Amino acid sequence: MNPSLVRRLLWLPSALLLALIGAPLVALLWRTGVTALGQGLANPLVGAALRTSFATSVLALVLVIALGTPLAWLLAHERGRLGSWLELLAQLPVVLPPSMAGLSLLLAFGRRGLLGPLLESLGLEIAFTQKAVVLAQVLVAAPFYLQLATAGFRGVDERYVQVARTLGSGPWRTFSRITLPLALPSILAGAALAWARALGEFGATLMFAGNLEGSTQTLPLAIYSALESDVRAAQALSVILLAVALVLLVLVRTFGPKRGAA
Amino acid sequence: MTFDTTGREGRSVRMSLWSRRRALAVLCLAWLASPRVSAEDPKPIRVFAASSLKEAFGVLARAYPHMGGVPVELQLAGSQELRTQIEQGAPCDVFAPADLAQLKGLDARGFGEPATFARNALTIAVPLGNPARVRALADLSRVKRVVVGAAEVPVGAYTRELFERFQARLGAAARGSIERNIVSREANVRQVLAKVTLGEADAAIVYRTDAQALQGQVEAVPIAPELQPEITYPIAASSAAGRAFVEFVLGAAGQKALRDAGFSRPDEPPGRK
Repeated sequence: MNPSLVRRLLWLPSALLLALIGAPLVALLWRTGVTALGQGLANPLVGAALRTSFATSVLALVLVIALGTPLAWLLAHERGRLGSWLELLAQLPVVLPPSMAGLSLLLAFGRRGLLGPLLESLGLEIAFTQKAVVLAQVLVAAPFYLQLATAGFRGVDERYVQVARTLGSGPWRTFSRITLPLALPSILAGAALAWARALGEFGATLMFAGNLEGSTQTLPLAIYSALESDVRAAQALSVILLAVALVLLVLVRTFGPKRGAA
Repeated sequence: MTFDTTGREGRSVRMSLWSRRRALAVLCLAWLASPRVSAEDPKPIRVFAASSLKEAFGVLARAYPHMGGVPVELQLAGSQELRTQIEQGAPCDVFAPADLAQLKGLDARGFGEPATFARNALTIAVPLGNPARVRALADLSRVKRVVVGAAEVPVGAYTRELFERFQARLGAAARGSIERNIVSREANVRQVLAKVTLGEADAAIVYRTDAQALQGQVEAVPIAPELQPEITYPIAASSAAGRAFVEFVLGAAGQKALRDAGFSRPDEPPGRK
């Protein structure tokens, strides 16, 4: 078979998969339309969920970056078995079913959870509060940030770092002037993906944080709730999330590591 | 995140294409050769029932084939969720939601006149040992976490009715002091109850029958009869086989299973058993 025929044949399965991915999105936009989008957005559920989602996901992103950047640097430089085990642990939430993550969060941080008594003695209530929403988002979003930030740090050529050090630059200056700028595209891409994932978090939030309008009801939970009363509102919320996800993904592709790199 | 696209690309692609074709052919043959459902097998009916009917309809579904009926495929979820599925075209012979509102407009989908087959009442579910010492609805004003059903699902709508009756007697402030403690509104009654069994909720409003079904995992604190909303379960069928199952539910055997699960007769006044 000649290569061009192979290429043409490859389109057959590819088109099927692309149709499967594209059809739901087209259907969502088609069935919602502009008028229904307006009517849906007028639903009081929407504003409250937008505020909740924005506040919690931004906080989750700050936490992911603050705690994830040091870990990503360590993972990039930790050689040997410990490093690979830690990396495995850090990647685990990607493949966990969200409902399982939510239940485990309850069993860990709930009242009767493993850390329940400790948290209670500190006067901290987590489950069914916005703290729980943020925690669930950090759990599911962190792996995406870690993966890209670690790859970014790994991609920094050690020779640049060594040259800077031999020229008398201190460790912090070397990090902020050499390592960080070189790893920045990956770090930003990781942050955007992590934010998108945090915004989309549903299962773990539902189980660990509950579903209360104005408090723990994020956009995905509002879609779930709106489906039971006002399908238009559910569709409008879905369109919002689709738009945000698209913007974030485009940002990742524009400013993130160039294809073939990383 | 990126794939190595260099190397023996062309060759491996060609091989995978061949093996893909072969796999496809094998699959097609297997499908053609697989036995069809034979004509003698009675066609099962699909019964959609509210979460609160889980145990009772489980018993009914198992008993029906032994009493001359066809096999029953049971789908249990929040009534509103089931209604959405039916509206979206899910095949369903019998629909038994937890309130009449869910059946409105479904005649377009072939559902006939609904019959009332059971009544229920609300109760307060608390963790074993009743740590917060809840004795009556008013006590929910002093516990920390109350979980109820979402207003869109029947149990949540009934709970709102309960709070309205409570407010009519004790005032808006008393109602507010309870509603302030609500930390989650769940999509079906079993999710509400799960928060109590996990020990995460101090109290929850559920159906009496749910607390009974999870005896040994939760405790029930009764709610005064004068506060109880009227909770009736309608059932409707969209096919002849479905109507036969409805007759079975309304008949002596069906009604006994429902009594055993804690439901009241359709003609009994609410809140009593």
